Amino acid sequence: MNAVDFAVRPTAAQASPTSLPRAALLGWPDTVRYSGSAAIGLTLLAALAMLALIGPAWWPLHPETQDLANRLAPPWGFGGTAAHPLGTDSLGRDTLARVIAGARVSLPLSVAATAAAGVVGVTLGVLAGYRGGWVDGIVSWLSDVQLAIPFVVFAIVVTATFGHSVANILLTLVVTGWVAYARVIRLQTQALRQAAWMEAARAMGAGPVRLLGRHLLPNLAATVAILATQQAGAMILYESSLSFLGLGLGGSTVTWGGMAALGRDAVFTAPWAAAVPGAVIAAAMLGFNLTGDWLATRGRR
Amino acid sequence: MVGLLVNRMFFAVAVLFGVVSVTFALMHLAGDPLAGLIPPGAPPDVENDIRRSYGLDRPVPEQYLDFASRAMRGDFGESWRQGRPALAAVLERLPATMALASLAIALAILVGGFLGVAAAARPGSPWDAGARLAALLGQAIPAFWLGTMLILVFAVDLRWLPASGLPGPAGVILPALALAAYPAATLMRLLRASMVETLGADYIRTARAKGLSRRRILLEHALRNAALPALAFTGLQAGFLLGGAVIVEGVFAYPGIGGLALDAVATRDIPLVEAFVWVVALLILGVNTLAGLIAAWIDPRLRERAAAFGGAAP
Repeated sequence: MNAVDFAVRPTAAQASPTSLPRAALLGWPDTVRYSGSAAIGLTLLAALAMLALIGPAWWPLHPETQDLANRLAPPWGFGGTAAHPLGTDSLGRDTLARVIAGARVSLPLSVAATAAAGVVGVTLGVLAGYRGGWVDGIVSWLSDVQLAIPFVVFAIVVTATFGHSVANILLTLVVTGWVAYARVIRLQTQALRQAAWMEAARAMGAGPVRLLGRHLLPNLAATVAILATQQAGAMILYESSLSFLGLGLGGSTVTWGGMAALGRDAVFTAPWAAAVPGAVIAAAMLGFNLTGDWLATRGRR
Repeated sequence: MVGLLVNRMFFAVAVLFGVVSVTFALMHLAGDPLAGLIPPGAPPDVENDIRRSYGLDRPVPEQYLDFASRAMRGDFGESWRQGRPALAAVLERLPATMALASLAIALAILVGGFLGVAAAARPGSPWDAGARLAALLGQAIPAFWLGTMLILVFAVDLRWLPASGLPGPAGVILPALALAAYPAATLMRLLRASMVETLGADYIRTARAKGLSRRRILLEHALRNAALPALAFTGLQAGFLLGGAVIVEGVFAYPGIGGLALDAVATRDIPLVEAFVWVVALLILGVNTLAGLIAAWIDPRLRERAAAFGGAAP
């Protein structure tokens, strides 16, 4: 995937830096240049994280409090008042308070799913790439089976069988997410296994645990970081899509996707009720995508 | 080439078997497939009768063998709510989804391809910046939200197109637009990256030195070589496209298999859900196999590599 980097011309961005041995060995960039798009991405992520962390203290309105006199109020600046700066939904609940409540669900959920899928995917990818043979065959078969079941389809099966819960949506996200790691890590492990310094470490008598833990995994760290950032954005998209369709978290849990679904029903009279949560989801995706692109350019040597 | 075809078919059957096994494990082992059929508070003997009539009192390995052998042939029994074979109910809705997905991928290739080539022709130009910004937004905006906004603009404000999926050509345009945005954006970025790389190759410099026109170099020399990774990617998009189709069908109340499956979840119609999973998996496998064969036909080097191990190229 090529980097989208508005501030730096692509040729300049891809020019290989003069590498310090250790930085080069670990695949980490040794120089961090200023990048406008990365600054936007990181700012978006920082703003959303702040919203989730200190949002309730800063904006103490409860997300379930109904203001029935002010149903579907427009945002401030679009005919609304500062009492509800982002407007209200069809039950008169404050949109800003619900965006904050949704951030406290969506962000941790996507980070947890990204981490869990990363552990599963990296483990299977390293096993397949390092061992080869039948282990590789089984992992490749599993990943092809997974790719034949899109995440919405998997979520439909899980919801039809077990109903709605955090555990179920986490299961869907992890089962969907591990393949992206496993495929890339498998190829990279295959390449690294042949490296001269791996050969040297083996000749020095390093056991498999030492070989993998001390020599292989540190060299995969940069790739995993890039994949994880990109996957975190995908997880936000998956989770909000499932919540929108009613396949995600049910009941009283506030999610951005659920807010957009509620807003969709009122789209003819109050378009902002759907537009605001959608814009928040897009901002989160943009934050993760820009940051992931930036890491990917820096990580390339 | 025949060997490759046989290899691919064998692999597709193996993957389909995996999908069937996952379905069984989730719906029959981990879950209770009859949870939606047995009325709450039913006496135990009524419950046992229902279980026996569906063969669920037999040992699990026997149930699995029976389910797998029927499922591999597409037999999932009767839909509980429609009273006819579940597969027939899904296949009836399939043409609508195929129309939506084909229009979306055609739009994605057209728009993504044009923007990718235009951006790679002059990197750093306003064209390039605009195309990359569009691609960033296309990848960040969720399809369900884009669909909602398209309804708002085109169906409510401008009254050009119908808001929900009517039969006929007009009803498919807005859903296809919502579905095409993400693959178009991804294709644009992929094509731009591989075009920029190709344009730096020696043979392009040679072509330039020969005095070939810019247009000819771009389209006949660079695009031809850069298109291969883009094609492989388009094949792998089949899964994403069908998953996205379910979401978009939900937004537009479009009468495809996705809408059917969402209804089936609400009514817990297990055979219908199983048939839906099977049809989607078969479509994805078919498209991936086809894309793999076309790629091998274009690039002979891929034939040996793919034949060595049956999996789809990563």
